[in-house]
Amino acid sequence: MIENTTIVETPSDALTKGTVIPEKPSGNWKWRLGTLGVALLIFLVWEFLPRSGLVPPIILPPFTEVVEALYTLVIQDFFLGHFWVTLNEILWGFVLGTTIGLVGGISLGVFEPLKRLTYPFVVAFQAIPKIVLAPLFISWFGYGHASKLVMATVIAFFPVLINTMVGLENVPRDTIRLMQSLRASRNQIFRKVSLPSAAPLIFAGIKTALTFALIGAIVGEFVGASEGLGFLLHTYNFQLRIDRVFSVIIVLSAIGAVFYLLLEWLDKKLIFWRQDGVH
Amino acid sequence: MILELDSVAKTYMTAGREPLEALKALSLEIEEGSFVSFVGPSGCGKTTLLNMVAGLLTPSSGRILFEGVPLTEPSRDMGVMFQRPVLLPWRTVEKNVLLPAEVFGLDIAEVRPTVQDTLRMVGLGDFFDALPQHLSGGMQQRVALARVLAYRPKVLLMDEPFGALDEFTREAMNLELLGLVRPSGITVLFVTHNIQEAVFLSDRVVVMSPRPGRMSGVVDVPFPPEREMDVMREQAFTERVFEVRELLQKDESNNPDLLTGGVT
Repeated sequence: MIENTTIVETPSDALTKGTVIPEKPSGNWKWRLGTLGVALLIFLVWEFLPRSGLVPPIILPPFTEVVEALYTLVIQDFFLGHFWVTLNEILWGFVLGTTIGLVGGISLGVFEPLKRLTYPFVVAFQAIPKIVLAPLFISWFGYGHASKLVMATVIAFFPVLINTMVGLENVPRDTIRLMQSLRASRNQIFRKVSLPSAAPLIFAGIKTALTFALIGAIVGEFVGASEGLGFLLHTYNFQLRIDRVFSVIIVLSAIGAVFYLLLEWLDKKLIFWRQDGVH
Repeated sequence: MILELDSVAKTYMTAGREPLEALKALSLEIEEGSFVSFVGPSGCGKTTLLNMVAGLLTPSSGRILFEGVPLTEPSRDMGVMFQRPVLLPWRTVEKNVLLPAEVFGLDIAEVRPTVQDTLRMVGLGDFFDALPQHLSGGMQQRVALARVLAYRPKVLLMDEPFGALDEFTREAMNLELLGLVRPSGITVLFVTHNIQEAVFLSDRVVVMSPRPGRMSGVVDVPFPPEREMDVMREQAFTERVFEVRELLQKDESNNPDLLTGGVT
């Protein structure tokens, strides 16, 4: 497999000659095939372990049984209801969290006194494992959607806030000086330089926020709920219907993966100049 | 005189520390259309001086007159070029050069032809839509040059603009700079630590020394504004280079710190 690595050309030659670098060679199909192979291997082991009796099926049901359980679960009438409830909590938690994080991060990044005043609290809040707040939110906001939404929002806003603030702090100094030499207003510097140069970091925070919103919604549902995928998972676990537990996990992973890929795609479109490897 | 520096000095005051004298009072008159280099080792205050002329730093004492008027803030009749190209990586080459127009509030459609002409002039005619990250260091610095020249500044302030480039690219850029700047009559203040470069480019070389930063002398260069590389072969060139070097060394012998490597 070593010869594959030699196919990738280094761009340094093109750089020194001052020519435009050709597009990056697209992902090597051999590697993709390899990844598929590894996935296949995992499924095989998953199938084989419980069937051979090495692992009791009650701990790990065979892969094919999980797939079957997933299918029978998904076609149930009640499933879609739970699915939408959780999807809603995740999406709203994500949107609210991102908005609060952006507004907060920009405020802290722009108004120095505000940051000095509130930063210790921000750090203190960061230290809290926010999951411990879930029971509290249930008793404050009830068993319904609201408590899950709050949980998802509270977990999700934080990475956006921190990344926005740090991104705005780390605008290259000479770029600011260039703008000052043009006698740009604070507003112009913010719009034309600070915000776009913080954008890669902000977007990395937004991607984390989505994962966090999912965690927040599920944790909220674990602690106390009467609907949602987290509630479903919890219930199946109690009933020892492990194949169904795995099915719900697969659905949740799929939700996370689809969102993540969507944001990843958006990231490549919006932050097209990214080359610092912040993800 | 387009610029008059009248006993300009800068001392940095930092709380809990000794005040740092970055530049001792310096007086200098700069003729319109001339090319003046400031040469000296790091810590000689040459960048501080340039930043004060750019209006990015306020002198602790003394004043700077630009066309007879005291300078209190950056002037849009001056263009600044830094050591790094300082391009916005999300903007194409053309949009980077249009940035000052946006800041100034000019009509973009009106400015665009000038911007494109300037880009062609610096040899970037085929790269309007390229992103900076796809250009070499030399080309990026050309974009920065175009960003300044497109707005026809009266004064061009350059802080070691080619210091990060390799020797060959730098020489080529210097020649091009002369070709672009001298016929248009722009006054240039050029900071460098390369003596040859300073003498090759300038009408006058201001020699500066460190700790505290100060002017130790001025060397006039007797060549016509537009020059080719062959002036470096002439005896007059070698003599000026030697003169600059002597001024620097004379100052070192007055300053035992420097001879022993500097006590910091």
